[in-house]
Amino acid sequence: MSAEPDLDALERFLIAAVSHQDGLEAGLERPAARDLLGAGGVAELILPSASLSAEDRLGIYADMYYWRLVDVLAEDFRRLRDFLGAEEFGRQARAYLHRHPSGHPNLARLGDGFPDFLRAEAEDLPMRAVAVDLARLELAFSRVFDAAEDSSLEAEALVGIAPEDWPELRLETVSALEILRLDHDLDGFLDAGMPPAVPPRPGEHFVLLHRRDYQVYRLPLSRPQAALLLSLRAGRPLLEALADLADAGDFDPDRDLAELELWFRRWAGMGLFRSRVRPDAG
Amino acid sequence: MAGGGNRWGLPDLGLGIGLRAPHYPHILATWPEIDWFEIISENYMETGGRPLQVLDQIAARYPIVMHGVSLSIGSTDPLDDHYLDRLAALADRVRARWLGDHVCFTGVGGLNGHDLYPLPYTRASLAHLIDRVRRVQDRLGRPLVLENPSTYLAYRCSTIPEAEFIAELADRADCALLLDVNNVWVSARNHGFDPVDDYLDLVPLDRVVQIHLAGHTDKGSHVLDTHDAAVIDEVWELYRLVMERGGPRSTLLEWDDSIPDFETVHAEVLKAARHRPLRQEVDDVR
Repeated sequence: MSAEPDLDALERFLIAAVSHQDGLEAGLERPAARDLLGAGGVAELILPSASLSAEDRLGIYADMYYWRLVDVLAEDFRRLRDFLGAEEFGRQARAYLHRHPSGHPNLARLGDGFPDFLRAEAEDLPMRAVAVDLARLELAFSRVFDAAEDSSLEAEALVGIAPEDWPELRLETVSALEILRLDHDLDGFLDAGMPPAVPPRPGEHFVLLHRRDYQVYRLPLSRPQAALLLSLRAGRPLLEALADLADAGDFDPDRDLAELELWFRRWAGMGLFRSRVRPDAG
Repeated sequence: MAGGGNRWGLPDLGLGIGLRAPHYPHILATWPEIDWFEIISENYMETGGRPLQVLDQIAARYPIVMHGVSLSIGSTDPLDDHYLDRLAALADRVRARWLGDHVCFTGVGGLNGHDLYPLPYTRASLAHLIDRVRRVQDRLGRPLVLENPSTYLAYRCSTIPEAEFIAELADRADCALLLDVNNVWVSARNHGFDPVDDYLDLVPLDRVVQIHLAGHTDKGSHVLDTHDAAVIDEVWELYRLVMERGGPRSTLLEWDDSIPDFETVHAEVLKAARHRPLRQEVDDVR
């Protein structure tokens, strides 16, 4: 070890030491930390205080690293924390933070990869599929909460569209909207207390999250409703989106036209569309 | 010297508190008589939702100062252009009176630990900081207001006392300072220096545009900067000394954990009026 390590090496030492999920001792075994340590250990780099050793002082930062970040995740994934219990949630959160440390300056983005981590890497997590659904739902809630605010199209604006224009019409959805396909029906489950008396029913379930007047709302969707909204969100003209539904056996023009009109009236009333693109606008 | 007691003429905004979400309903319902608010910049940089809508309303009625935690000015990673762009956009949006961050690094190698990690106080790190502060100021077109951090460790390689380090940084980078008197007290306890003789005596007060006050947690063996309690008498005494020596400065109380109601937090910062020199009219900045 040199007498005066350069700034980059010292910063890498500190981050390696304090950010290991198993604590400071494990962190000090990482190459970026170990390479800087001589026989005298941490005390060669950090001064003791009158009451704490060099290791104790470094340990303050190691303790705070996970305390602070797990706390942020627990705030963003409250129902998941309640479902798993604080101990299991903390164990999973630490593993996630260890394998996928934050690289974003904003803590609001800390949990972006948490659902994918639970699905792909948390192999020992009990009831993992339910946990993944909960995490996806809560992440979607955060995204809708923070999405840009758009002016939404009034329902009357849809009523005024000429019938011949409807097939080629494109409707742009507002930014504050997420549609999820889940593997469990979480509706009653979320409204009951946590931890739940009975697990949620497995099965395909679609959920719409949207924001109105800065409040986030959750609404169950049928499969055709979800498919149609997803197609419109992807920029498909209405006619093509309906053709896709018909191909999937989810829509019959003769049978379902009146119901379709009700859907659009309701969705427009909820403020799900921000603009319409006229057919001749491409 | 220009108004506000600092070389940039940045105004004395009076006594303010940190804007925190639990207080939104009270503020929007009552529009309380308070001089100004400070925001954590990052809390409003990635949202287009209610926090920004609330901030817009508050910024229309009160002066806003931006205080960040992720600039990582001391890191050896490249400066984050996207972050700086968003910072500048938010400053324009809320007509921020000034913006700043901390003398620290928050991560390296692409990792952000979301903590204020201490820097070694050496000639090399000073040169590194001066260069980065200048570049950020050039990009933002305004002085950075940098805060002295609370620290829990000291590097053996440090050769410059913290107060001297920050004073030279401010002079050579031509930046402004936010003097957190609670941090001075916390670090003095953790490192065993005298908060007046070894710190306040060395701070260039003509560069100080803002003061921070806060509570902390005394763990016996060390003190943590937890922002979860009232200001202790010893910190008020440091504040009084700064006011006596430098004159009134924009003063801000931080309360970030176990946050009490708005009135309690506001009442705590209003205690600062007792320690300021004969109260002058706050600069008309609205």
